[in-house]
Amino acid sequence: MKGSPQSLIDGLGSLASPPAIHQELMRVIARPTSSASDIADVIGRDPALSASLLRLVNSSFFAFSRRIDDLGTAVMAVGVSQIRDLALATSVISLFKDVPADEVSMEDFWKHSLATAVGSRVLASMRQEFNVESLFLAGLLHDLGRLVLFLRAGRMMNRSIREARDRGLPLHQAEAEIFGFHHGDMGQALMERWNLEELFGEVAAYHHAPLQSERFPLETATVHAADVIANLLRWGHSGAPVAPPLSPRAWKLLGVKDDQIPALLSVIGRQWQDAVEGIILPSKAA
Amino acid sequence: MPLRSVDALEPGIVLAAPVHDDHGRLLIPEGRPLTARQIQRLSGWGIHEVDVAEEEEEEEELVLDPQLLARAEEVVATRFALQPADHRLVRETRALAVLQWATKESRLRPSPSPPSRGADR
Repeated sequence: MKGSPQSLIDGLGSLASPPAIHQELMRVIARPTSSASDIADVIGRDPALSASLLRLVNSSFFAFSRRIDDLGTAVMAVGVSQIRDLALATSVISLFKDVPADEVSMEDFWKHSLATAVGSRVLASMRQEFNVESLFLAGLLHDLGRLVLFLRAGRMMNRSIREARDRGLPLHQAEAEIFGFHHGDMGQALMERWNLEELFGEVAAYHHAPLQSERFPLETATVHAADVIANLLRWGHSGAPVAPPLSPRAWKLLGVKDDQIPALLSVIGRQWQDAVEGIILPSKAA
Repeated sequence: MPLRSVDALEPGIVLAAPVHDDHGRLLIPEGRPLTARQIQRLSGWGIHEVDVAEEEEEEEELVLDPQLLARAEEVVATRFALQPADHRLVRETRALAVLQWATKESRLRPSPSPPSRGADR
């Protein structure tokens, strides 16, 4: 075992803080006098982020009847905390886009995370959750701890993947044997350090054991199911050679009827393609 | 998904995204062929562009080789090793995974007797 999640974060340098744009958005949103255009101004300072957000807002995610060409309108149409969550999701991808990992490319990793994010969002909207973007963000961040492990203990992480492959284990189990904790615990520690809402850390910590989540069982079950689906369909690649097992009890919590499953899978697949084209492909070209 | 101007729509074209009015009311659902009457109404509603589905999927009715499908079953089996055997989500996902893998493979290597490729000349 090599240190604790906290000690691994200490060596992360600038990544131990959340993306600057998130901190700035939190400040602006907290001011009671802020308007949609103040929020748009903050986002507008990052042209790549602005372009990605506008592509998302105009994608199959929202299906607004009219094209939205400016951020101010986007903030009003989508909602303030929703835009904040989408902005954090997008900026985390670019913050962690160059992590060196032998066993999985960053493009595949983020495609997997996006597939989980989109799946969580679709599942949440089926039960008419108020802020589906927070589920999108929770899905996007669920494996973030694995990138910290690649950055800070790459050889142990590679060994975990080999063990998982050779013994047919779920990767989080191999990580737990080798590190004494798994990527979910690592992610939770980082998100606590970033001062994100508790939801995100708890979902990361328990997405492989959703029924153990005390405060957010439904949200955790949502991300759990979306993660299993993304792994099974190899939409992107989480690094796990064998997909983690579905918890049928967690799935039951979500209330999806059997005959809704084919449509569910096809909607997630289509929106995932849109998200990849809107967020990952442009940042690769840049 | 291509945006198509309402003037260039023809009956039978399939929408890739639903059309809503300003109050979010559904006017035309996605995924169904448009009728001439619906197209006329779009301009009346002040809608100038809609998302239409890619057409390629229809022209390319992919027939998959049974051997390739059997191979696909083997390939995805490892990935599915830890799943509860008789769960509906797992069954549906496996069927899709098999189809996905076989479709990708058959695109990568062209079939032994390709249908006439006249357009290449």
